[in-house]
Amino acid sequence: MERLENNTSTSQPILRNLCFAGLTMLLVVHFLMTLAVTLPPTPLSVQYARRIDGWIYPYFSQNWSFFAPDPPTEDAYVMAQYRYKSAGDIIAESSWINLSRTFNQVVQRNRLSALEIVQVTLLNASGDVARSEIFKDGRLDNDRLNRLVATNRQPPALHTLERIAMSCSRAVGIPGEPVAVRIALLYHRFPRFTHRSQPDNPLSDNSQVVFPFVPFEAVASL
Amino acid sequence: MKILLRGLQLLSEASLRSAVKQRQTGAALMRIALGSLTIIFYALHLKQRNFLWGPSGVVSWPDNLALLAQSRTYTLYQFFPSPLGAECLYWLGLVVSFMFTLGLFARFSSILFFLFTWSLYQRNWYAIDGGENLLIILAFYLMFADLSGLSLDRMLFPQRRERTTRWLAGMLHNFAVIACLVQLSILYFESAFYKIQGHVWANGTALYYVLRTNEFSLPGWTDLVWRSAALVTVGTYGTILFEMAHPFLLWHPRAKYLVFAGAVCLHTGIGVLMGLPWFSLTMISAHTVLFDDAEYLAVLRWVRSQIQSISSGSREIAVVRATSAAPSRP
Repeated sequence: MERLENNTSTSQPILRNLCFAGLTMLLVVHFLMTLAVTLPPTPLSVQYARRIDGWIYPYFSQNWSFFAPDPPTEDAYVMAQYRYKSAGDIIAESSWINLSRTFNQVVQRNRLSALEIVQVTLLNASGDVARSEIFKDGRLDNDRLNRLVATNRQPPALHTLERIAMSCSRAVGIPGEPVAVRIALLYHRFPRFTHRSQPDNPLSDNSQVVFPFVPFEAVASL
Repeated sequence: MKILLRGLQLLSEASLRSAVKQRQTGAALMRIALGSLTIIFYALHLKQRNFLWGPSGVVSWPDNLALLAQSRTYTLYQFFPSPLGAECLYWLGLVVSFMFTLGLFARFSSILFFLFTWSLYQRNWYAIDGGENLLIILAFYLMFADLSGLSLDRMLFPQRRERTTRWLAGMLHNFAVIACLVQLSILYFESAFYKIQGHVWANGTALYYVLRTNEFSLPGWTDLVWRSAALVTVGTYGTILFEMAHPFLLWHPRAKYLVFAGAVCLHTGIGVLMGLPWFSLTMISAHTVLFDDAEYLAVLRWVRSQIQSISSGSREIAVVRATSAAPSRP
């Protein structure tokens, strides 16, 4: 410390003090901006929203609410149904396959499974689909979705779910050459805490959303 | 005038203090921990690299480009859109992570580490669990820290001097370490802030809903927890209390040990029960900067003394055994 003082205090004290003050200011401003984007909007953060966003995004974007204020009250399952060419070139449809449950079971058996990342991808993408523009007041806007699918511009999250299903076609044992796939989101509501011994309720309102078939694409296998 | 002079004097003292590097061991341990996690992440997904990050991967190129444009960002993968390009970036990313973890050309490799890790996550927008968000932010701050502690650089180039002015390097390092700590405080503060607004967090049943979710359950274990009203209440309130206290106790010289122990327990539970091991390990790794160099040195001395006492104890036992086994004289 003393040696450093001898080196610096005699040579560059003003520069050092300026740097210190500048870095302190920078740190304070940076974390005030961080607080402004992580906490609920205030009149101040709304007024300076553009500047705050410009500072924080993309490198410091963050959300640490972690199941708060409201944790999930239902399971969202991603289901897939395949259309495939069976023997004699007849087009057949498979039964619905619960992709989420399949990956969940793999990860439950092995917490360090390489498929955990696919499970997370399914979860995040299905959440994004539910928040995308194809839903209006919590219900699927079929007209809009059909327009988007026809021009191959479905939301990236939905397309990602479709591509996961495409990559899984062999693993789930589709008996012929798959030609199309469609996705459904199935919601199972949990019972309230006081009724926790009861099973999930698969027949709750708005429990299933089915998307149209899309043709198969070349996707790397899992 | 007097106040101004006093203010200037305080500023000068503070700036002088801030020029001396603090918590180099903690920063180095964070480098090793985050780097190791990234290496394991790359290696674990070796077989799935084309599916996750390749041009015919799970997120199609047009979708990836649309998402990048929407968030006004980039990934190195977009500049090398061929299968060979993605392959090279994957292997280069792995090499960079090794360099970063070992501390080879620490400053340079920390910049590359940020760039490659950032690019990896931007290529697959949906493969995120919260841990990588913190990892990216910490990797950004660590670019300004002195990560040469416990590094190959120290072994290979012991005489190498920093090109930057010494006090400036020290100041940048300390501010980077403070940034890591403040970031950690904000993380827990925000988490607690939102939890106390939630109805089921307030009535002590939130843990039930989290653990009942199929994605975050471990059959045979989580149902044991959510079936018990006592465990659910203690777990819910315990989480809120810990997260509320964390940002404040983190700065206390003694209470920070409690914070560290709490973080290890909470995140081990999350990692095992909820199946979020990478998130949990990243969170625990971030706590390595809580302790200063003297504290790490004290721990090292204690471990050495324990090893010595154990080895001398076992030597004594061996001598006793040898003596008792020797044939006694008639």
